[in-house]
Amino acid sequence: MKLTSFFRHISSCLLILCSYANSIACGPDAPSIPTPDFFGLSGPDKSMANYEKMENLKLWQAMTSVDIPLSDIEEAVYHDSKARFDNCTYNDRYKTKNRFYNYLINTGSYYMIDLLSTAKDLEERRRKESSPWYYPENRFTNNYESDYIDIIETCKQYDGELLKDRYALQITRALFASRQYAECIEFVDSAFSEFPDTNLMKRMAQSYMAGCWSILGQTQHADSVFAKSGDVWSISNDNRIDYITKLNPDAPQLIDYIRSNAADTAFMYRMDSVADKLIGENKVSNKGDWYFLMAFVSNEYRHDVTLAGRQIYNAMKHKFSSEEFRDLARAYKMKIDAGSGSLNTLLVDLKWIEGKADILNADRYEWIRRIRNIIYADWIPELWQKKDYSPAIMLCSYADNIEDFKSLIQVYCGDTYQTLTVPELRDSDKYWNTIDYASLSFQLMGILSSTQLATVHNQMMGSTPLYNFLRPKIRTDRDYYYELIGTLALREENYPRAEYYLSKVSDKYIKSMNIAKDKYLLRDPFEIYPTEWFDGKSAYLDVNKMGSVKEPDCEINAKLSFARKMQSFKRIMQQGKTPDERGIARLMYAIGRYNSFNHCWALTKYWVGWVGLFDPEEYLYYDWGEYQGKYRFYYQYYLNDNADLIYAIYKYEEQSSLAMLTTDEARAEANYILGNLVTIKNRYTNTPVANYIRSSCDQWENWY
Amino acid sequence: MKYLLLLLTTLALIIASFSISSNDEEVKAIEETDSVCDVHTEKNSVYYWKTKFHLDSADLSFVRKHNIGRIYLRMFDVSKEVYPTSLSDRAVPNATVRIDYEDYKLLKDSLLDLEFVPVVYITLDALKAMSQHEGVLAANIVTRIKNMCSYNSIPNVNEIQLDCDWTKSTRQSFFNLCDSVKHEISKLDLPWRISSTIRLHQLSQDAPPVNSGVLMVYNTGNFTNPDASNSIIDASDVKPYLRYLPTYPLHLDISYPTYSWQLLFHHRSFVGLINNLDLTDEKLFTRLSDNIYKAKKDIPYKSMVIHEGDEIREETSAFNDVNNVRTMIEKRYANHQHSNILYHLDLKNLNKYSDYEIDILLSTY
Repeated sequence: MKLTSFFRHISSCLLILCSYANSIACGPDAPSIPTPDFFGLSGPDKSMANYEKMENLKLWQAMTSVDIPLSDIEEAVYHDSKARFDNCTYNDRYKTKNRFYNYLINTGSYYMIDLLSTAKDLEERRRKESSPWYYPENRFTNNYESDYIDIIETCKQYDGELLKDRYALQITRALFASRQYAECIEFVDSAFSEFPDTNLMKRMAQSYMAGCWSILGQTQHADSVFAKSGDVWSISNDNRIDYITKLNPDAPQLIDYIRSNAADTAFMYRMDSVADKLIGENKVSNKGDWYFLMAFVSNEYRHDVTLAGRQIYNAMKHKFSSEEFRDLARAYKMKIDAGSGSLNTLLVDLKWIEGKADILNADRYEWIRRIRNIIYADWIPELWQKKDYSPAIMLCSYADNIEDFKSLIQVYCGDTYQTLTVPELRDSDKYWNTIDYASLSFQLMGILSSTQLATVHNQMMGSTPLYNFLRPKIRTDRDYYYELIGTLALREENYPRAEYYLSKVSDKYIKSMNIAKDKYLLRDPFEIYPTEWFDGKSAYLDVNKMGSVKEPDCEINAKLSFARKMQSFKRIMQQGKTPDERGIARLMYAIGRYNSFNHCWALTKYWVGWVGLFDPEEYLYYDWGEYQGKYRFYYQYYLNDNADLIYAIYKYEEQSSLAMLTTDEARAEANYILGNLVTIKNRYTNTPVANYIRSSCDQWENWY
Repeated sequence: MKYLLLLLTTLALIIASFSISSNDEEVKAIEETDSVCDVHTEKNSVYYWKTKFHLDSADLSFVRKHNIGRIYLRMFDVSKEVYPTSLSDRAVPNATVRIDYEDYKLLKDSLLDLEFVPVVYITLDALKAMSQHEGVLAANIVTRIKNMCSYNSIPNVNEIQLDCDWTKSTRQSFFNLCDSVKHEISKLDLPWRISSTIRLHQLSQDAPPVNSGVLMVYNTGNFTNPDASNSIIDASDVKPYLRYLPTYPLHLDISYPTYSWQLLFHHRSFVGLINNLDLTDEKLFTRLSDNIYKAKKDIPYKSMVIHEGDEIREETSAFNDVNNVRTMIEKRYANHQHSNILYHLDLKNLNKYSDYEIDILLSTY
């Protein structure tokens, strides 16, 4: 069941609000799955005029010069006012860089200038009459007719051949604008009889003629003309798709019309049978388009990935209406392949689609969005479900880094931005690393156990064609993986494993990590209150000014130091000579363990909080719930994960360790560790610890 | 020293004579410009403020009987367009008056002795929407009025009128519009003066740059106020403004109300205007005071319901009320030639007055 747009919107807002409310320690942004077009055609609605315009621009280019950019022709023919057009063409002092104007002037093509000037005159009069301010001047003469008489006369005077069809079109438009509908129909019938049906001006004139029929009440006649010209938008028949497929199924406008309605569920449910029928009856030449339509409906709406797979492979064997549409079908095939778990063509397809994301491609960003959609929305959930973690993480990392691995990164530095290469950013102990810890692949690795991630790292170094392709584009260095494996081991309380991996991580890498830059690792996990950063009265305190926060021991690698100390305490707990020694070690171990999941969370995590899971960019059009469903395995880094259990264990260990102690000296020491100075003062007065307190505390009340 | 004084005196005289001659030229220029305005003559007048122009024999009889010489005809309103497609369409005409063929014939053949003043009501939202582009709005207004007059054969148009409830914050924009309208009229070589309605609160401010004005002496109170006794006309509302009248720098004609309306209030909040309810029907209404009635039960009215307990205030332009105000104004304005205008030509209301009363209201001192 899909969420309603409203519900999606509300849920999205809530999720965004919650994510910022809960997220601390600069966790990653909410992972986002881009939702680019594959089959659908979002953006401004197309109309018949779009097709005619593009064809017309090319005709003007062919009539003038192929060296003139279409944009220059468009500006002059479609956008400029008559006043500007006349200035650019008749006024010597008026200079323009537009190559179309310059061609007209330099070649003395006044017959073209006259035509375009007349057409603009006509268009401006039509626009004036459609203005809400328009009011005719005379009650009895047909104002509309009289308004265009001069234009019609001018156009009739043209006796050349080259622009005959264009002048005839202007007369058609003038007759239509002057409400002379019968005359307009008659004129189109006679004036264009000598031109082939493929002639653009004839087709445009026929649309005006259809408009005349429609206004005169002959809508069926009008519809048939619209259908033959491919103008699906103007057909008034209730079932315009059925209507046009009977008369003009091969109209290129038809498939675009369906694509622009791809988000309409009820509409699309009817479309695969239309496509099936057209293909079956061999009525369409671009069968690739129609198979693609069927595959899209099967996958998106009927959730039959097997059928969709067959249909998309059929599509790829047939002709498409354009290479662009074929490319989209191939990208969509990658999504369907993911759904069926077929890795057969993945490498070939990745190499192909990466070419589409080339920096020289104007649509590069859209293709990057498509790559990310294919991998995030389809491949990762499929591979994760199969516990195929290595390709999942490698593909995810590939998608994460596809924009970055050859690029420069801008980082914020004070008031300015600094531009760095990716290796420079990764090595920096100054700039916030924006790519390696907030990425989805890093989050996915954090879901695994240390053993699983170690296996993944080993596997990704293996030599398979797919891995060999992906490896140069992703991060595989030992520091990055071993530090994470070590951290996972700390989370698992497997301190020997943690030490093994963390001891192989370079100091340089440790210094470059965001958690080191943010000084979270300066918190001493063996202090009972290691992070009194909020004093309840004042605002956030500067860590550097905190007397209770110690600089780390000589080791830079605080995690390694923690792992070693925990092992040391464990050894003493097991092998200590006296109960006091074993008890104190047990207390320290309990405090260290507890803090590593709480105030010193940076030892076992990279951030804490909660972010919205997969906030699709266009949540109004796509099923957000579907993405969330696919990522149920995703790990949220709540600070209070199992908080009650962790605290209960700590309290049990604390009490047990205190119960092991046999001397006042040891009890005083334990209470000192626990910060119970009053207890020491009252119960263990004659111990060295009490003496130390008395001699050290000049402001006794500070110690309560 | 003596020569120096002489020289300075001579120089001063030359400068003064130059200044006088240039002032004279200025005055002459103003007189020439104003020569268009000189054709304004005083005539009994009425406003015509409906969406369809139609004069039947009773209307014509009223016009003849009371020697009405000028009709101020509302042509269209200008309102703000919510989704404009161009700068020109930020403000668009609305509720254009419709003139059918028989009334067109009447205008063309039988009303040639009447002077018509096309009036355009401009909402403040429209004015704000065209701020900085008043010239575009002016061109649209003038061209449309020209075409409407021509299409409908409206005779004897010597003046057009802009009606706008401008305030201090929108004053400059309205004045720019007036200037631009003048410019457009001159550009199209039209023999039109320009006038503007002047509301009482506008009397204390600068006068708009127009040839003449019409002082609106109605809607003097706040009709949404549940405690107002009569928002159409109340001498106590008018009086404070009259001190500005004798020195107001524009020629003013005075417009008096002859309409009535019923105002509906629900829990003392204004709901809207209603019409033609028989408030004397005791099964439906209880009379609370002279002009206030209370609904006894829920009463369906058009597409809404008048709820039990709702109050209706009936406001009229009683002759005595209007005439009191007229007398106050005539006393203060006796030295200024002017015409009186009735707002508006609707016999359903005008029939409540005797011919004598109408003549009194139209008469000046």
